[in-house]
Amino acid sequence: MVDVDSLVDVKNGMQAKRIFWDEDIYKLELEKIFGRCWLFLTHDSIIPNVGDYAVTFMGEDEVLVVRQRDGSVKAFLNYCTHRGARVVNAEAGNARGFTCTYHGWAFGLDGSLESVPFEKEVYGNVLKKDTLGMKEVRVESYKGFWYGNFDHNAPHLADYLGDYRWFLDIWMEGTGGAELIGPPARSILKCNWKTPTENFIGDAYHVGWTHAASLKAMGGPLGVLAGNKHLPPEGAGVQITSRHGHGVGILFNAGPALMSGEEGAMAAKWYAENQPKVAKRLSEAQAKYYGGHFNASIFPNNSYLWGTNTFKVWHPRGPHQIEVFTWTIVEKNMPQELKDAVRRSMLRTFGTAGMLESDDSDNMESMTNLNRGPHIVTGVLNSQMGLGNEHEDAESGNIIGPSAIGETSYRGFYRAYREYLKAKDWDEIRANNGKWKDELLNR
Amino acid sequence: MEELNPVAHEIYIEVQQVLFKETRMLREERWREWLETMVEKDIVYRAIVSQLRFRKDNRYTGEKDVPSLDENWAGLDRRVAQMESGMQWTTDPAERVRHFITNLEVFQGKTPNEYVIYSNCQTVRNRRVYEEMTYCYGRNDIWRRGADGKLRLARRDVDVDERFVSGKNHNFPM
Ligand code: FES
Ligand SMILES: [Fe+2]
Repeated sequence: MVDVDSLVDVKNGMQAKRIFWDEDIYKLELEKIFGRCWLFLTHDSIIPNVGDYAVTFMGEDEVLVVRQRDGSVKAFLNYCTHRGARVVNAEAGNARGFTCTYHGWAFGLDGSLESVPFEKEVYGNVLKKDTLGMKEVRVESYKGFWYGNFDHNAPHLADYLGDYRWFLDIWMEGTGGAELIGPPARSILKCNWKTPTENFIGDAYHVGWTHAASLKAMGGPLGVLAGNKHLPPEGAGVQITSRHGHGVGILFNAGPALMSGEEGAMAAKWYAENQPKVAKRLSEAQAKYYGGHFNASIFPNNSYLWGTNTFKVWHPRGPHQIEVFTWTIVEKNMPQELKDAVRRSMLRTFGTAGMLESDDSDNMESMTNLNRGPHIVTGVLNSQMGLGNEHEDAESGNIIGPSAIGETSYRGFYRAYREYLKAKDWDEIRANNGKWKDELLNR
Repeated sequence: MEELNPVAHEIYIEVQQVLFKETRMLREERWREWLETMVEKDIVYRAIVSQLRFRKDNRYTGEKDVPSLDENWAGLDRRVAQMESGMQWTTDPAERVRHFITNLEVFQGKTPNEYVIYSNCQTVRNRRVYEEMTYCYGRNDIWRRGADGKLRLARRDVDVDERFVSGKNHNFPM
């Protein structure tokens, strides 16, 4: 039995290093986190037409996501209910139905078992076809972003995102919506799935140091941080954590991030022109953040950067490995020329040959793999920066750390992590709705 | 694909020597020299992975190409500047990258001073103590002969075979 309380100390901002290594902790995570949190599947822009599908993962389970005839979306475990072979071997496409490669059982777009070769002759009346459809997974979307959940007692996606939507809406809604470009790039990293998630959720601290060389070479608003020459000034940004562990760090007015020259100017112009529109569509308070650089994760394993425009899922593959899915993300209404520039910038920074991506993965792998040492693995991780500085954010309802650099969202992520691992079911988690802030705010 | 004309033997050998020299230069971390002497200012340098699709699926409208690299000269310049900064700790201690280039075919390009070059490449990259990574890909290059008689890279399309990046990333000269 895993002693969950021994893994996370919320008040003192510490975690046991074992969370990046132990097999039994990982098994518990698959059950209690990947088994009942909302997990990113795909976006409307990837499966726009009836019969369009994409294959992805929820935790370690392979999932087929399909656009239905009525325009809705369904998802199924990608295995055949006969002997368990994979049903769809392509990664994406358009189909009228899906036929298993093993014996040819054929499923409809809605997952139902439509036909079985020689059914009458070989099965007679034995087969209950209506009970043998592909196993369906619950799905919901927020602003075109589809997520799946294995737990029917989980709250609706919108409630799971909760007050954090206030920050999502800034870019998911602010200028008329966001979309993902192209198929995902895929890469394998030898790290625990939480190492990149925590980095994206709240680590502005490493930017000037880990990425010193890249920042120096690239220029752009983030370039000034290169080599820790400058700390972002007082009031340069904030960090946020929310009810279900989602978090974001924002560096004000750094939107064009690592785009410089003509491209940087084009991005800066776009943000400046659209800020008033965001104020009108959403609120002045939200518009204040628009045009900033966002580093963020949606609990548990879906991260994004707004400004460097990458959108990622860190699929776990055992405690010591992940498969990364990476997309470029853009605002729908950006002119094509800007979308292209944003995409090139994303590839250069956080793509599979990205300059910053390669910096990060080295840290994430060593943070994981050193734990094979029995003396190293018993150590603790420290996330105490800004401890005691947080307060409730009256505007958004979340917890806010009022500085650009701090570890508020780390602490919030691991608070939620412990809550999920401990709770028997969603009812137990719901019971904490009124008091989740207490421990973080030390009250 | 239109029929391309193979070049004369001397040119074939010349191209081969230039490609070998290029990989040696990159292996020796002479990044700036490579960019300044072997790369055209209008360079397009791309590496593309392909999404897995069913052969008969022609109805899906989504893109199939998954770019890993899509650089122009300015982008390559930034990558070189990163290495020149003296701060790039991921290649300190240094990585070792060795290219193997084979199945070389050289054709006359659209103009008399352009050549179209196909090759198969295998690259072995070593870093840290335990990381040895192998990458297999094809390259379709266009090299252009300048007024000084030297060949320079004008376009490179790297066709990556692996669907997922098994060796961490494609952040090495491909
Ligand atoms: S396993 Fe799919 S038809 Fe038999
Ligand atoms: Fe980073």
